[in-house]
Amino acid sequence: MIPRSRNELGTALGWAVETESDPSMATADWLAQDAFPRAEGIFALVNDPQIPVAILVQLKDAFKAWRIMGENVRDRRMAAYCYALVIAAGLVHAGQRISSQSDGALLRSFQAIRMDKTCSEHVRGLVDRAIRMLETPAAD
Amino acid sequence: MTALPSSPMPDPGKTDAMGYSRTNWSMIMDAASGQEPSSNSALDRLVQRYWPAVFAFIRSSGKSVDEATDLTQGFLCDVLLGRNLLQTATPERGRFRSLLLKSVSNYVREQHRHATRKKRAPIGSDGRAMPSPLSLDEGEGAWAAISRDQDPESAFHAQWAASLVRQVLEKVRIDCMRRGQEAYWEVFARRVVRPKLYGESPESYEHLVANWGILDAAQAANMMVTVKRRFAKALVEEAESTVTDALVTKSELEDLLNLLVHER
Repeated sequence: MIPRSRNELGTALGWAVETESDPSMATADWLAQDAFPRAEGIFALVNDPQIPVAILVQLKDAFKAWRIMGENVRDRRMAAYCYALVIAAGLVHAGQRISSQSDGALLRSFQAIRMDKTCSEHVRGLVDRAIRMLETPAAD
Repeated sequence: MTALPSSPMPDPGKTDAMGYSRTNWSMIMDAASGQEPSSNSALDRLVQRYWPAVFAFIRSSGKSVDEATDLTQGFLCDVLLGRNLLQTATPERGRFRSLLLKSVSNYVREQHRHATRKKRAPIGSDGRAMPSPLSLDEGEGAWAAISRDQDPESAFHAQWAASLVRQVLEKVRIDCMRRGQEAYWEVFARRVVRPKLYGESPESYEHLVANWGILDAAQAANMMVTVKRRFAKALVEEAESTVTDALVTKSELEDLLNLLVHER
């Protein structure tokens, strides 16, 4: 088989360059792009208010499986991190709870991300809002 | 140059995760040693790997398909075998890609000067038979798909990258089969390779799950990224095999990427 163009060859070489720098991050981005091809990566996806809930549910399941199938500790930690992020995105963007985990378990996951100094302001803002929504009792 | 003895058994320290020779330089030196039968086998692999790039350079220099095929054959006979290009190739000289490009460029200029029209038989000047016949259809097809309308040097680099990608895909496919992971390969091929590299529509997870005995879409997605990572890792290892050390490997991949992106 012959790749159709230089653009497509560049795509394949780009995968190699991405995995060289951070294989776990690259894998998280690939799962995000596989679920939603327009997404640049997992962080862009969870910060997109237009993201359909069905995509978040699909990704939540993929990250849940990756927590078990991940090759190493870093993979499995990244999977758990992304798993919590897509649940937070469901709460914030769609007002829907896409996980059956308890409030306490979700709050612990979100707060762990909140404490992560390496996480971007956008991601921190997302989990902040998710924490507030969980802590505020829903009005009847 | 002292001929290096070829090892009958693979050295675990010099093989990658898939059991392939880690360093292409050892293949080059093996081919240069002239010792049968490993020399012919190494030469065969070298020719298979590099002739599309040589063909693309010559074809993009304005030659017809027939002329380009003849000159490619001539270069492989006269320079690769005849002038022992392999024996001048050493890890200390850096990228084999650069050496090959310089050599083919010189060869085309030289041929143009002498206006040689000699028809060559597929025999090296040292009497060794050329290991593999060139596939005209594949050469022209690959050139037309990727390198048409490019200057010779860009065409060479694009075909070099295409050969790299093609060979690594085949390695990964064989590796998946050897591990009994045919479904892993099929998910990767149908979700990633065909859509991203060949413009086909990705197959739905629903369909893949039903046809390949996979638990669910989440498991299929993880199978896809598992093989994609293997492919990316193997691509790095393959690129590494044509340069001197790991430090150059990353720049080799980025260099190829820049050549493809910036010269479009």
